[in-house]
Amino acid sequence: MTTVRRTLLALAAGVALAAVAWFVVLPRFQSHVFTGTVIQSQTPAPDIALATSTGATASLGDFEDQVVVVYFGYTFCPDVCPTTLSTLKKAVDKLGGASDDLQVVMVSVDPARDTPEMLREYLGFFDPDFLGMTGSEDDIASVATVYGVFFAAEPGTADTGYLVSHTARLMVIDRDGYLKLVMPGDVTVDQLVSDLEYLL
Amino acid sequence: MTITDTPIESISPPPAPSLLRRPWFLSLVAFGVVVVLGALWFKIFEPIQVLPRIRLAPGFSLTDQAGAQVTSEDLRGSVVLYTFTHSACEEPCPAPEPTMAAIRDRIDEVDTGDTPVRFVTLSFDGTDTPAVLTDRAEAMGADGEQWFYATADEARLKAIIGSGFKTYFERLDNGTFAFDPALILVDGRGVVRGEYRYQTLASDTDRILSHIDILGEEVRNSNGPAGLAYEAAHFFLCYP
Amino acid sequence: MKRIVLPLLMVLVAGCSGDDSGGLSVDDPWGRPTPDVATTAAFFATISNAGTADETLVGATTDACRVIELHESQMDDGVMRMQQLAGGIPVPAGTTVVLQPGGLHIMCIDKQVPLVEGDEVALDLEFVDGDGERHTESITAAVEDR
Repeated sequence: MTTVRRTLLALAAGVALAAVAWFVVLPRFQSHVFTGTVIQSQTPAPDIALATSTGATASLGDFEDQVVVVYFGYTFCPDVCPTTLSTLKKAVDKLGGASDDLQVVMVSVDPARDTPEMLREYLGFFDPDFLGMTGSEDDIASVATVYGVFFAAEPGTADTGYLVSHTARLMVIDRDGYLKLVMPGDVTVDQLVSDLEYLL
Repeated sequence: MTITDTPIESISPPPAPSLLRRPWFLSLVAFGVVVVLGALWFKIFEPIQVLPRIRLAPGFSLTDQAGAQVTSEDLRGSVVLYTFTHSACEEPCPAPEPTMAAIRDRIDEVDTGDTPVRFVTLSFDGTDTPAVLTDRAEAMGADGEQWFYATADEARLKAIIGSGFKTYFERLDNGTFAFDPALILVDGRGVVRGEYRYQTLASDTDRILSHIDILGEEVRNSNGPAGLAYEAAHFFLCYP
Repeated sequence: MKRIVLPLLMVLVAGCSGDDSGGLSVDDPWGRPTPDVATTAAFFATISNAGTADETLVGATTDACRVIELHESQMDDGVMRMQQLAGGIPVPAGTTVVLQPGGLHIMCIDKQVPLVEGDEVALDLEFVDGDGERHTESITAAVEDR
């Protein structure tokens, strides 16, 4: 083999390696591909200070150095909310020990029906560590507004009374207290585990 | 007569080939050069420009100039440019409604594909009736469809405009408002992608239009594997 | 030979379509375990209409719930809306309708019994066929976390 050919081959190998690094390795390691929308906020996530299902009050600051998943839902919700909570529970189980630094919070969009006790019993069924938050309609609306969540009671039948339409996205706040990720409500367990594992 | 023609060097053991002759070293150099050039190329030429995903736009329920309810969810899927004003705002009113009108007039210059572009002007005054909003809208040239005027429950406006859109306003004793003029660009997923404050009216039109164009391009191109390139653009801060 | 095969086939077909209701079958009925304090729940199933007449699921009764309504959840890129389907859930001839989380479901209101993993809930689904005739399909929904 001539020296020229060897040099060319070596150069080509280097370029090929670089291409592999760029298009295969880098995306896999450097920029984890999240499900949903990544937010590059320059300011910490807006605070959520409300009464909790444990009977105390809490704010986001209480979860320092933890990843917080915030979901807006309500206990009268038969279909979507239990499905999302069940998905979250399965993700927590799959994460195992890593989930010690994970806090799941459900903010009620139906304070009239969701007392702290109700939330504790309801969420405890899925996972005793899931925290419910509720408060006055006004306080909840203020929190929902800044998290891009719209909710409104809509008239139901005589039997349902009313139902609440609400934005069913999951907001993920990273260890530093910044809103990092907004996930669709119908996210799968594997997508959740993958993203939370990366953040934890 | 010389003893031998053999150069002296051949007698001593052959010197190690210089580093540059070694294949592994050449590979390494090529690898490094390509990676650095690639990163530089991405950073300098910004083959893909993106707008930063600044924060979540607020969730809300508004009453528009026709008296109809419009929620943040109704506007999902559209690129929306918001501005803020109040109906008693007289010339020279600092609210950038003329800029909004200019952008609306030139919106055909940008290609957002199937994504509609909407314009929303929020009034700081929650007591504005649909009739008052309509008057203002007509004076500014808003058609009520593509560009509509709206307001919300007085108690919620501070959260929506102040906390949500980070735009200062305050009701004064004389019934008018003190406020910071602002235009806010929100994408179809409800994420704030552009904030334009203290604008010079003439130049902002072009800038905001170019940003809407970038958003349109992102919606068209960022699906599937190309999404990775868009994430890379965010990673390298390829912001306009 | 024919004499054996034909009745056998008929039995098989009948078995698939669930007795006398023509081509209608309700497969894989299930519901999610729910907290005791929850007053609502949802049941799901796959309803196939292999017959020639259109059918509509108009309601259901069960001892497990005081009232049952038919609802549809809609997830539009984020927002969850639920609405009652007052006209029922149509299952046109030759089609299959899937009731599943985040979509069509049988909503249980004022849940009377706990729904625990492994339980079974008996439901009577009421259908109306093209001629306006009512008939009932009895199913047993498995309570399991999927």
